[in-house]
Amino acid sequence: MSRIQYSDFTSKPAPSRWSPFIERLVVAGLAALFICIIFAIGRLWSYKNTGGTTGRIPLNWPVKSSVARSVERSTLLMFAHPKCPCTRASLAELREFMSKSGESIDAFVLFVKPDGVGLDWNSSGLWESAAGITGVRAMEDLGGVESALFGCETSGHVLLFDKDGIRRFSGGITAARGHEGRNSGLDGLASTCVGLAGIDHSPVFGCPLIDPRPPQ
Amino acid sequence: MKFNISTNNGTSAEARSEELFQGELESVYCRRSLVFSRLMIVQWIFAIGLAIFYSPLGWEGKVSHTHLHVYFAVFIGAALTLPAVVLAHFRPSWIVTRHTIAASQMLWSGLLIHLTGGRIETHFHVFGSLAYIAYYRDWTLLLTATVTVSVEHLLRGLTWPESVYGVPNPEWWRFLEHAFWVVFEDVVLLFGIRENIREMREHADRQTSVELLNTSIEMKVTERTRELEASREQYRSLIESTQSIPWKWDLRSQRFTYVGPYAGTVLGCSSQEWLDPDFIKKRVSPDDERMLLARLSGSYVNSRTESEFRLRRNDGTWAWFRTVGENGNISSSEQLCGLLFDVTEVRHMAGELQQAQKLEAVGRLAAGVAHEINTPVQFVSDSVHFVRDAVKDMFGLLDKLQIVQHSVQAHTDATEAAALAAETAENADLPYLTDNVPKALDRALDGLDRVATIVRSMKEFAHPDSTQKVSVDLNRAIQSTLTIARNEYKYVADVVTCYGEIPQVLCYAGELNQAILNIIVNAAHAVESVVKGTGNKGKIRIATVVDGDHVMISVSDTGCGIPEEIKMRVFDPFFTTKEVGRGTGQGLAIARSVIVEKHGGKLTFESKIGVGTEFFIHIPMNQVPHEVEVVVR
Repeated sequence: MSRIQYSDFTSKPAPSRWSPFIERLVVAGLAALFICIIFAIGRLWSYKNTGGTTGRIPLNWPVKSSVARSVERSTLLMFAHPKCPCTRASLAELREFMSKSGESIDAFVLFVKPDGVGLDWNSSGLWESAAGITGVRAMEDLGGVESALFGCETSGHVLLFDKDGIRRFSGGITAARGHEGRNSGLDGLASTCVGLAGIDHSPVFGCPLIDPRPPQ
Repeated sequence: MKFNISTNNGTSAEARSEELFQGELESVYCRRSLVFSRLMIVQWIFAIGLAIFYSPLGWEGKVSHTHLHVYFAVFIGAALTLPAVVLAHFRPSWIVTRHTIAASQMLWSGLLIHLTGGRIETHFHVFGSLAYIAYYRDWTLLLTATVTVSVEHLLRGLTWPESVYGVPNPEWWRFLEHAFWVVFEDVVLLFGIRENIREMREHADRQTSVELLNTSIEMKVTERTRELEASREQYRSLIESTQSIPWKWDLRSQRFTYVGPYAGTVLGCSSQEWLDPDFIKKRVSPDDERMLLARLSGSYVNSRTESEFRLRRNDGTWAWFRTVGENGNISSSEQLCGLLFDVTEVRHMAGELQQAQKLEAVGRLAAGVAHEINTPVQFVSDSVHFVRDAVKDMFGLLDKLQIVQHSVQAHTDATEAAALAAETAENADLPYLTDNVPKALDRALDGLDRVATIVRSMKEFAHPDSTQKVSVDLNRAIQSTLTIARNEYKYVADVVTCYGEIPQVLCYAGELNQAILNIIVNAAHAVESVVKGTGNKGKIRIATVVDGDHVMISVSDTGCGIPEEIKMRVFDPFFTTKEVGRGTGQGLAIARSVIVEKHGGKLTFESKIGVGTEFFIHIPMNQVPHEVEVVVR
């Protein structure tokens, strides 16, 4: 009897292979592509991490404001664009904040309604979300009058005034555009609210509340 | 399990096991890459859907534009998905493919975290992806994945710490805190990978041993098959060289499917013609066709059958064949097979042998027949001599009486002539002659009648051989046979006949007579062996009776009986227990051949030592083709 030949075993067909040159080319292409991806992700970070603009923020409560400021406790204002997707995160952080510190604060979310927009401008879900937060009242800011008075130009901008109408905090309460999670703005707001030392301003991440300025 | 078997080409079992292991590993790589390529596409679609659902538009006052998230989802998603999909399609097991997929998958986690607004649930994508990558069973991929996610985390922590740690100035070790959970999962997964690899190696070892066994068995089977084939070929050559014709018969199509090469030679036609479905009709004798087709119909399952039939040669002459076929052990349920022998010459020889035996029987009986004839001839002769003397005396007296008549007519003295006539009459003893001459003539006639009977019996016994069956009165045939065999038994046995009412039977008369004679002579010899020297006589009883559709002739004797050990051999040609010169061993063999093969009857016997033997001959009344059957009871 002949001896066993291992060549008798059925072997799987060898997978197709590329030439070393092609392989090197593919690896180089992949490396280039990953560099591009890194840059693209960097661009994403940059976009998300770039704060919006702010106007001149008054140190005291503007007398012309039609918002009813509390004289017994602090008043919190958040200016919001009703269609800004990033503001969803700001409202989520506000809900978190109000659940902890809301009893000592009167809070308003003012949705800016520019002139000339339809009646359904505020029907984006953010209004209901804001109105659903305990201790928060949702209001319309017709024509952006209030936001202009308070110098807020970016959705998600939060202002905190004490019972004397002195501004204690100004800024955003998210770490980035539409980014939920702990952040310095929220920490600063919480510290200020309870009278502790903390930052009193932070960048605001959100959509601009006002129309783009025409080029100069 | 380890192997240490070297093979002809130097490959070891370990190498084969390694080959199997690597093959299986490559198969795992291919499957996982395929799964990941599908997952990448699903993730891409999901990311675009997520961006469109949550942040379709960016706004500046009342002016909107497509949100950058949508662009990021489309383009970064494409950059992460398409290379992985293309590589998974063309080079699924390539190490670059695997690492590309691992890195892409971890970057997908980062992208999805951003697209979902940093939701804590999305961070679990990192851990799910690591576990999924571990299915590759390649620990280096975990390294790539971990490095990718760590670098992404580290860079983001350095450039944008709030998005990672929630505070703008985290402690330096916060990175380690986050990395710990990834490393923790890596460690768990590494154990899993190691265990999987170990199982795969064991599986490869087991498969190697099974392959070894299978190959060994396969080779043995191949070798045995080759030997079997050689053996079959040897048998085939052997059989075909013996002028026997092996055949196979298909029961469905009712035709030969194979015949040996000698088949063509013996008929003067091609072997291929045997395979013709109409071969039986074309070649087999009409007398034998029905019997042969019955044999080949498969109705004789699990039995061994023999039959003889005639096939027409190309030159128009007939050739006799004996076929021995079996169905059961050597045949499938759908075919018969067997051997065919050309017995034309054998049958010719058998005919000559039978004729010789017949002559031998006649010769042996000649003395007895002569003796039987001699007795009546003797007293016929005496009677004729007596009548001749009487006639001579009568003629002498008649001469004297004529002299007396002439004297009386011539008116001369007739006294002297009358006295002479009276004296002559006195001498002739006319009363005596008157009384005895008729008796002598009667005796002569009786003797002549007895001679005529013997001669007629001889004539009937030696019935001219005919190829055609004739209608025969078996009782008369038996009586004739008894007549000519009388000298064989008359001194040792009394014969008792008991003829029944039986119809005439179609048979080969001469050959059947010979068969009966052989049995009767055997009976006489058996009785003689018992009564010899005792002065006593035995008994032979012959009876005929109708038994169903057969006529049965029984011949019993009070002889010595047949010993058990030779019962199976009594019909064998040249088998005899008689002394040399008294028997040739052909008697019962020819009787069997005549009764069974030529008449399709049965020849059986019962025997008991010291009591006697009884043979039973069954001859079918309605003659049909015969079958071979020998029954010993």
